Amino acid sequence: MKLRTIRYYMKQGINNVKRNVSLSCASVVSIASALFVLGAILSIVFNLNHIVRGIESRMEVTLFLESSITDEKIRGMEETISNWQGVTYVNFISRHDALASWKKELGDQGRLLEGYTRENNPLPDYFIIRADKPEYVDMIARNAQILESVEKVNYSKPVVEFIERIANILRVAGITLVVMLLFISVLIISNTIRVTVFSRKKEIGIMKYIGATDWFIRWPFVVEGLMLGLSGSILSSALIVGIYYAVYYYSHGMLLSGFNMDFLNLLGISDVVYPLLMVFLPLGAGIGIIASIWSLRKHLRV
Amino acid sequence: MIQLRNVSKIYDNGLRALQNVTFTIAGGEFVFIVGASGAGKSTIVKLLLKETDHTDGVIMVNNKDLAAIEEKGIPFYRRQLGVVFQDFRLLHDRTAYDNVAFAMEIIEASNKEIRRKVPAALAMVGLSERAHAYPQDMSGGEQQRVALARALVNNPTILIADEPTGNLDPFTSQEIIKVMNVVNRRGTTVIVATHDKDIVNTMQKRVISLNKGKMTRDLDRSGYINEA
Repeated sequence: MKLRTIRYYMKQGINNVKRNVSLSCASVVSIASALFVLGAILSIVFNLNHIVRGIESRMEVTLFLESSITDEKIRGMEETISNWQGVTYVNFISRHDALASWKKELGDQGRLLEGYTRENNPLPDYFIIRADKPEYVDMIARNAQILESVEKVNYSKPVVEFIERIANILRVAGITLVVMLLFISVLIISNTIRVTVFSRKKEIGIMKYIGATDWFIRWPFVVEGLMLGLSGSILSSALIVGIYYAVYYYSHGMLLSGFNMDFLNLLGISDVVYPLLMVFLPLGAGIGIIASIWSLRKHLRV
Repeated sequence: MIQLRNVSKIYDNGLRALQNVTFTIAGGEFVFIVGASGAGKSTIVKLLLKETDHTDGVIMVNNKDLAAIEEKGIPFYRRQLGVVFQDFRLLHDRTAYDNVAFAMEIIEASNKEIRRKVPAALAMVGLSERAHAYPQDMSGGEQQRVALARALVNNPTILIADEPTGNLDPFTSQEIIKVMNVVNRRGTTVIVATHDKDIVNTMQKRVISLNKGKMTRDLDRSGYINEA
């Protein structure tokens, strides 16, 4: 391909975009909104996966005990538990210690718990058990469940499963929505290009008569579609970056202000934005190209 | 060389545009294809441009069977032909020069070649002074000459003209036909589909007459003969 020919394609493609500005804008907005929804869903799903990984890596089981339990029994339990396979750490925390540390954690707001004393402490005694590998966590939890005087066992798996279920629903519903939106974008872009094709129908006819190949005719329209698609993906990327940036720093601020909300520990901006750009740019470009080729197919038959 | 053997064309809507047409045009000939509208002239032009396919028979152009040319090969086949239409079909956002140059650009000729051949083509049709005018500022005759220059700039072996004088006054029509005659003398085969009696009568060339899709006459050095 000659440089002059490439210049010609680019120039014609830009002219096409300029020829119907309002339709071009509509196309850009439609593809940007489709990709924006995709981006929002993906950033949530990425973060949910991140949370799951975080929880799984903790490999912790918490054992809440019945309030009637005796000190002797507790010592016996500690002995039993530390002999289980995979257990690297067992720590008993009495309800009194738990209340004290909770009060401390709340700092100034510790006054909220003032009404609770040793006598009416609502918290249970509990064990924290750590495993050295994630695969042991499940087994430890199952063993703990059948121990006497155990009221409740908390461990990561149900939480992980719950989060994964949400992520899956989001993924399926989101992808369906996105596929629909992308399809609509293809329609809108191809319609826009069809308008250009129509206004250049005579020209296309002339080109065919003097021996232009289909691709020679197609390229300017492909450039047009590519420009629309890429503009849409850049616009949506900018939106996602901006919003994610805001959410990230807002949540970071909340973390720093002392709220114990681990789940707000979001993925870094670059961990979300770069993968998204890797998806958006080719997707936007691809949609533009497909739409342009699609809208030309009939008009090349001369 | 162009050869039609028992060529028939039935359009999708059932119209029998051509029935059993047979003729051969040797390289370097000047031939008029005449007939009233609907006689089948335009269909022959369309078949030769491979804009549509014949239903029956064989069409050979420069020893190539048109039926054997695939979709992809059509642009390259058309580059051997120069075409001129009644409505000129020029691009209005370009000057005469650029319209002619465009025909070379699409076949990716070099800039050097374009600079050499475009002025030559414009000179041949007598339009050197109007090279930088836009089609809408030109007369019909001038526009048709630009179209001719565009058709000829890639040195086609065959020039096909479909009612080239249909939009022109008699004087200008004669001018255009004279240019075509010059082109023909340089060795290009010229086929003119027309119902313009005057130009056919002045030229006294070979005339193939069509009536309702059938060939009725094929005469050398003839004038226009009205079909009953």
